[in-house]
Amino acid sequence: MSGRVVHGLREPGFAADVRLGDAPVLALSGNADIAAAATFGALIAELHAELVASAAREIVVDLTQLEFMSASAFNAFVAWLGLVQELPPERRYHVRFRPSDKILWQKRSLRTLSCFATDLVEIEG
Amino acid sequence: MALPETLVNQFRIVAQERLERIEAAWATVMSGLDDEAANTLQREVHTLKGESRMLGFVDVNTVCHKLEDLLEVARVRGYAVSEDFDLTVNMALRFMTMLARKKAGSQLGGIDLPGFIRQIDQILLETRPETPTPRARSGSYQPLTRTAPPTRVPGFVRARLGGVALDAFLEYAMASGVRRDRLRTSWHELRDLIGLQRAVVGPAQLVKLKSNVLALAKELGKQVEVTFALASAEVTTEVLAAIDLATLHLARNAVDHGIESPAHRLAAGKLPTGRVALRGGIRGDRLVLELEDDGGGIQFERVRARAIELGMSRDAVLGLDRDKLVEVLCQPGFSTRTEATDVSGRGVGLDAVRAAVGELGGSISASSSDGAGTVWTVSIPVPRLSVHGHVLRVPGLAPPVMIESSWQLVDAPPAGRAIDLASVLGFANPGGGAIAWFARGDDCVGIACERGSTAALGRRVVITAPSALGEVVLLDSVEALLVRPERL
Repeated sequence: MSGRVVHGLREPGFAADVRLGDAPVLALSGNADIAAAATFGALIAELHAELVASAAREIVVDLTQLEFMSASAFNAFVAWLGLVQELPPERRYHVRFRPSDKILWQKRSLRTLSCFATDLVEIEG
Repeated sequence: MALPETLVNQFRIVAQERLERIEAAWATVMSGLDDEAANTLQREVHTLKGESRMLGFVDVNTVCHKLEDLLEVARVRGYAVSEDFDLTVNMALRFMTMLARKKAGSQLGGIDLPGFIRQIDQILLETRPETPTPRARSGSYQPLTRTAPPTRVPGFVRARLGGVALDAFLEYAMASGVRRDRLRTSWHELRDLIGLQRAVVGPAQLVKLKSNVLALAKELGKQVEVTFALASAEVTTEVLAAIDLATLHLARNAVDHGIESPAHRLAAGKLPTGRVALRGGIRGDRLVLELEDDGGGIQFERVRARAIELGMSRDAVLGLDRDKLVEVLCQPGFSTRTEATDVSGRGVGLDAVRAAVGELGGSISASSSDGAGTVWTVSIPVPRLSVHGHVLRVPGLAPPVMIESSWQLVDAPPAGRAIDLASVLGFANPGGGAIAWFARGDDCVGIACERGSTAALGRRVVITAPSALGEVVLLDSVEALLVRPERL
C-alpha cells in the first residue's frame, strides 16, 4: 500500500471503518442518514484516492451491520462508481458488496446500483 | 442526419440543469407536500423527456418515461413513499446524468439500462395502487402554480434590482481611481446578473423541431407536412426559451393528438398527409406564434368528460364554453388520455407551455373546429430592446445622457421646468452650458447641456420600471444614462 492512512467515520449512530492492506474493506454500521451523507461522500473520495494509489484490484464493502442508508448517503456509492469508471481500464478496481441476509432493502438497492457499472460491481450472496 | 455537436452539448448542459432542479424539487416534496415543487417535478421531467427524444438521447428518454411513472405513483400517494422508492428516484436521476454525458448512440459499457428499468418496474409494481385515484385538488380550478423558466434570476427579482443597478452604474460612472475600478466590478456583476440577454428567434431554431416532428409522425404511423414561416426577431433569452418550449410541446401535441392516421384521414375525406404549420413574428410589442394543424380538432366533449372524471363538478364543467375548456386542457395534470405513452398523455405539456409563457406575462389560447383542425396561439410581450433618443452632455455628469425621442427638442418655451440634473442625482454641478428644452404633451423640461444634442439609438442594458428615473443604455460601446424627464 502507499502508506497513507484513511481514517474511518465515527458519528452518532453511524460508523464507517476502513481497513487497508492486501484485502481492503470498508465496513459500515448503524444508520447512515442524511446528516451522514456529506462526510461519507468525503470518506469515499479519500478512500478511492488511496485505492488508486495502491493499485488495489478490489475492495469489499461490508454492509452486514448497516441498518439503514438514506438516498443521499447511498448516492455516494453512485459517485464512487463514477470515479472508478473514469480511470483507465487497467487501473479500475472492483467493488464487492457484502449485504446482510436479514436486511431486505440492501440487496434490492445494490441490484439497482450494480446497473450503473455491471463490470465493476459484485454482490455477494 | 447527425445533429450539430453544439446542439448536443447544449442539451447536456440544459439536461444537467433540469436534473438538478428535479432533484431539488423531489427533495422538497419528500420533506413536505409542496404543490409548486410537485408541478415543477412533472414539468421538468416531461420537458427533459421531450428534449432528449428530440436530440436522439433515447436512453435518457426511456429513463425519463419511467421516472414519470414513478412520480405519478408518488403523486397519487401524496409523496408518502418508502425509502426504497426515494432511492430509486434518486438513482434514476443519477442514471440520466450518466446517460446524458454519453454520446448518443454510443455503447453503454458496463451500464445495464434494461436491468435498471426492471428495477424501476419492480418497485412500481409493489408501490402502484391497484386503482389509481387522482390526488384531490383544492377546488375545481386550482390556481396555477408557476415556476420560472430557466433564467439567471427570477423576473421579479430583476425588476426589483433594476433601480439598484441604475444607482450602481451612476456611482461607478462618477467615481475615479481605485474606487471607480471597484465600483466597475460591482456594476458589471450586477449587469451580468440582471441585464438583458439577447437572442434571435427565427428559422434556425426550427430546424431541430422539424426533424423531431417528422420523426415522431413516422413513429406514430402518420404522414405530416411541416411548414414554418417565422420572421426573425431579436428577443430576450427568456422569450426564446419560452418559445422553444412552446413550439416543442405544441408541435408534438399536434402530431400525437391532432393529426389522424392516413386511413382515418382518407375516411374523413382528407388527404392522407396532415399539415402542421408554424407561423409568427413580432406584432406590435408582442411575439405571436400560431401553430395550426388540420387534424381532428379538440374533442371538447372528451375534455368535459375527462374533467368530470378528474373531480371537477359536473355542473361547472357543463357550463364551460370552449375557451374555458381550453384553459382546463392547460391545467397541470390534465390529459384526455387515460394511459400515458412515451409521447404524451400525462397532461404536462400544455401546462408547461402555459406556465413558461405566463411567467413572461404572455398567454396561450386555441381555436378548434371539429374534424378540421386546431390553431394554438401563443402571445408573449417582448420588451423593447432599443430606444431612439437625443444624446446630451450634461455638466457635472460623466456618462452621456439620453432623452427618449418621444420628447421633442423645442425652442425655449414661455413656461417649463428647468432641471439641474447633476444636483437631482446627488452630484456637484460645476455650472455652465445652455438649456435644451424637451416637450411631450403639456410637459416641458429643460436640461442644461454642454453642446447641442444628437440623435442616436440606444440599446437597453438593464430594464427598469417606468416609474424609475431612468436606466442604462448602450450607445455603440459607451454606457449612457437614459433619463425619463417625467420622473424628474
